Amino acid sequence: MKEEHLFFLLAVIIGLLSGLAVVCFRVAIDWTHLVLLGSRLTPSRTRLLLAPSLGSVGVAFLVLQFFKTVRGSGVNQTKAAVYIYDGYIPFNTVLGKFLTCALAIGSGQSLGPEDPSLQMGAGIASALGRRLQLSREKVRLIAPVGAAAGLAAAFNAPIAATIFVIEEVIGRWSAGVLGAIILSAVSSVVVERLFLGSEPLFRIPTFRLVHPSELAAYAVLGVVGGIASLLFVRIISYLRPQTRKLPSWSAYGLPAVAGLIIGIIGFWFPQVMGAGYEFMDQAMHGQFTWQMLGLLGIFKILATSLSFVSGTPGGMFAPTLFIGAMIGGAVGSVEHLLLPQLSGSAGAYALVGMGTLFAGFLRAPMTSVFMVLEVSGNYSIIIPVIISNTIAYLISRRYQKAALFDLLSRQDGMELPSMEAEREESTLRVEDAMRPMPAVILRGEATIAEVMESIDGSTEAHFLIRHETGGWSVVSQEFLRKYDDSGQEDLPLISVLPSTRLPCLHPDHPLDIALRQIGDRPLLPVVHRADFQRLEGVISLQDILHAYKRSVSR
Amino acid sequence: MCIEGIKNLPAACGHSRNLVSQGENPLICEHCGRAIPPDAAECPRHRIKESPQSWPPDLVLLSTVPIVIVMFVVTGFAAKFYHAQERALGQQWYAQGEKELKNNQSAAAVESIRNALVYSRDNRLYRLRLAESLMAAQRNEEARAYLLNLWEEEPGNASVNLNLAHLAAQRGDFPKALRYYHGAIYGVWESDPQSHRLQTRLDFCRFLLSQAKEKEAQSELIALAANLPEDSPLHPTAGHLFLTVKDFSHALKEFQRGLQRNRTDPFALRGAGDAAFQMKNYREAEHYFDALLRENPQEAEVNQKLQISRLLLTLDPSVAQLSAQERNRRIATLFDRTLSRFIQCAAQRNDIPTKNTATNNTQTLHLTVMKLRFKINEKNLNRHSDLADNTMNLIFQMRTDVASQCGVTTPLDQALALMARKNGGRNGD
Repeated sequence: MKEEHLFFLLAVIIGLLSGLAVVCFRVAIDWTHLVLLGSRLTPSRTRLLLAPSLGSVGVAFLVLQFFKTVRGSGVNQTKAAVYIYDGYIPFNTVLGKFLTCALAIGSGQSLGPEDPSLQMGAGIASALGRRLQLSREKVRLIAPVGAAAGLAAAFNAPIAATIFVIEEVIGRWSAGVLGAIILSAVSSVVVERLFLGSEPLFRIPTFRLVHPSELAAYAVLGVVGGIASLLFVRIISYLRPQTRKLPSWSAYGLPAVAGLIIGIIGFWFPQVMGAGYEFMDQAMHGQFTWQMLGLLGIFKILATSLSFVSGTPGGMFAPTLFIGAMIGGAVGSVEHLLLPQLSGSAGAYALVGMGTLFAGFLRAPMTSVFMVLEVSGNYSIIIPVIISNTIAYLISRRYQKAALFDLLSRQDGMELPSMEAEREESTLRVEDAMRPMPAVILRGEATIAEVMESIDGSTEAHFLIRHETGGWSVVSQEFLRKYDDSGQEDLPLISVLPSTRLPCLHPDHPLDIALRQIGDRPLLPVVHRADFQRLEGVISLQDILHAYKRSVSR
Repeated sequence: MCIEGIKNLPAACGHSRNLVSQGENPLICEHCGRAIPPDAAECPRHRIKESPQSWPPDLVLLSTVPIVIVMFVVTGFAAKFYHAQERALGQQWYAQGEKELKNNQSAAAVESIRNALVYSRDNRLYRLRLAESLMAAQRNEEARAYLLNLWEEEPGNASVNLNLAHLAAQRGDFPKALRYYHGAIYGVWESDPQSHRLQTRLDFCRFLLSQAKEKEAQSELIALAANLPEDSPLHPTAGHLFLTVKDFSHALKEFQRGLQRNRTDPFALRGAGDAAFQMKNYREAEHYFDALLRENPQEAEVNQKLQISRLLLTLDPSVAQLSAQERNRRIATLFDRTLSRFIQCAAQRNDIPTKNTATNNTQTLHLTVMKLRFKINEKNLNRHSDLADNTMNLIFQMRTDVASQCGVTTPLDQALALMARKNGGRNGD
């Protein structure tokens, strides 16, 4: 079987396995929660004190003794596997992530299951890819395929997962990879829905924008969300290096202390423990006052920061959505108090807030839009989501240069490619390097004598030749003089040239294509896309290298 | 690319080292110069390349099929166990919530049903009950959010529509209340739809009446009455509502239908009597009032109405199909009784004229009537046909005087007032 076909088949199998793994993961988390914290939404104080702290000690033991690679959320670790280790993720990581995160989240740590699901899917894919002896390039690519499958099943959102993996992990939209990612994401979601149902994560009443001026209210939410994102990133980026400076014996103590603090917070705000989906749903149904919503947002930032910097493995997606929902609900409720004529419900603001924090904190703007649409099943909210997300993203980008994942990877001593920076890097094109049309363009059907006459006095070393039958060639002045001097000036020029024509470039081509095409050729024509006989300019290897040099020096 | 804060990086770009994540020194492969993953004993690239693969890729691929199948089975069992546990927990919390709701512990019921919803997120019944618990706990806006969600999923759900109607009515949003009430009346009820629909319509009628929309209420009541089964206990209730909108004929019919079910129902007897009385069907009114008083002799108001009815039946001379003789007899009797009342009222106020001298209208009337009293009898009335009209005029004058001086207090006063009204407001109130 050809490797390309095998790759697509593998994508489906990876999707199935990742979906199954995520279903088991969700069941494990819920079962752990049930055992440790009971079935009430507000557990007893004894459980609140004991479960997160003891659970954290258990997690720390597992991590330090058996599963050293499972720390962190999973996104950076997957990226590291793709860019540093050629897609290698040991299967031990998959098991470790499953066990430790199920225990951590189930015991009440303020972390989410989505990022670990992403890494588990990537790990399953990596293991399969290695077993099948795929080429290095394919093994490197198979990990993101699995990552998309894991994330899609965790969120029950195949489109958002696909876009996230492309936006944040791979950074490019090549057709081959995209096809495999979509296949695996869809397969995993089908499996997940088969076992866990197909209802959307959240429900809000249909949103109806009565007047466009109401969008200003969502713009305000974008500003507040942007500020909250900055605060969250700053706390984590400050605390994490501090905790790493602590002596090694604190590796057990720190998670326990974090768990204890979270448990104490849970006395008054049990909503901040765990992923918190049921409380997000309550926020969307206007069950909390704006004061409570604000406090929940703030304490969730605190709790998640503690959980994450203490070294407990677990994800940031669910806490981000929670914080966004609470802040969104708070802003919406306050706006309703000040402007009762606003038509959007608190639930609508909570939903938009989720996307806002996702865009501002995780810096994945496209994913944030699709994620909100998919988890709510509510398309009517799209315009407020786009406005609010964009504002939050711009604020976060303006005041926090490096995105969270880039920051974390640098703190870990890794320099992983920043997809955000790559997205914003300007692409050099042929038009940036090409020279204007030359003064002399030769005709292939002319005789050598006629050609010599037309180039008389020219200092150019090479000349482009346009053929009436189509295509271009190049000839050097030295070559022409040789024929002229040998007395063959009556020969048509076309008869002394090789039959192969030059590859043509277009002004909008990336310069990379020009570099691949130029080879040993002295010149390449740059022609109009609608008329290949119409010359726009010429380009040489020197022109290309000069353009690259100029871009670096800017 | 300049990297801040990273030390000891090799000069060549494209190679990175994992320096900090596990606090160990990074390992670099001798062959390819790339970093070795932290928990790998050797470089995986070379392990892949150099060690012979015992199984061909196709076989490996084939072997994933049983793995997938086994995983499906395992996951199926795990999911089944998980769902069963969720269902059990959901039912347990729901049962607790229902119990708390029955005991009027609405706050506790909200929490219990919320717990139930955690384990049965898509259960519409639980969501509906949560909304109802929130309404019971006076948390209407929160309830409304849940109900609107449910309404969007099932716009024809009658329970949801009814609850939304109640909320809209409380908020004073008449158009929305109207819409949701109609939705409840014509929507889908899970059980006993006929009974629910009738109750809802009744509820709607009460709402319309509370909004002073009597015409609309009447239309709904007529539709309600048309749909009530013969043995429904709601007939008297419908009858009472008909009385409120002053549709006495329908009211009487409904009370009569109610009495068919229970002949001694005091509410239906009173209602039927009132309806018949308002329709000036005093014979029927007397029948119902009499039956009621036999069961409940203490009903003073009913007793008074009964006496009025009897007076009208026996003394009203304007009743159709009376013989001239009977008519004159009635006029004579009515005159005597009215005169007694007139004298009694004047005596109460010490307003009886002395020595044939009148100082006011009442005394003037008194003197006039006393002059004529012996002439007005049945015999003279039979002989002189014009005497009847004059006598009736006198009767109504006396009535008016008594009403203005002593009030309309006795059954005779009220009967006379009704007679006066019937006679075209001649000296009537």
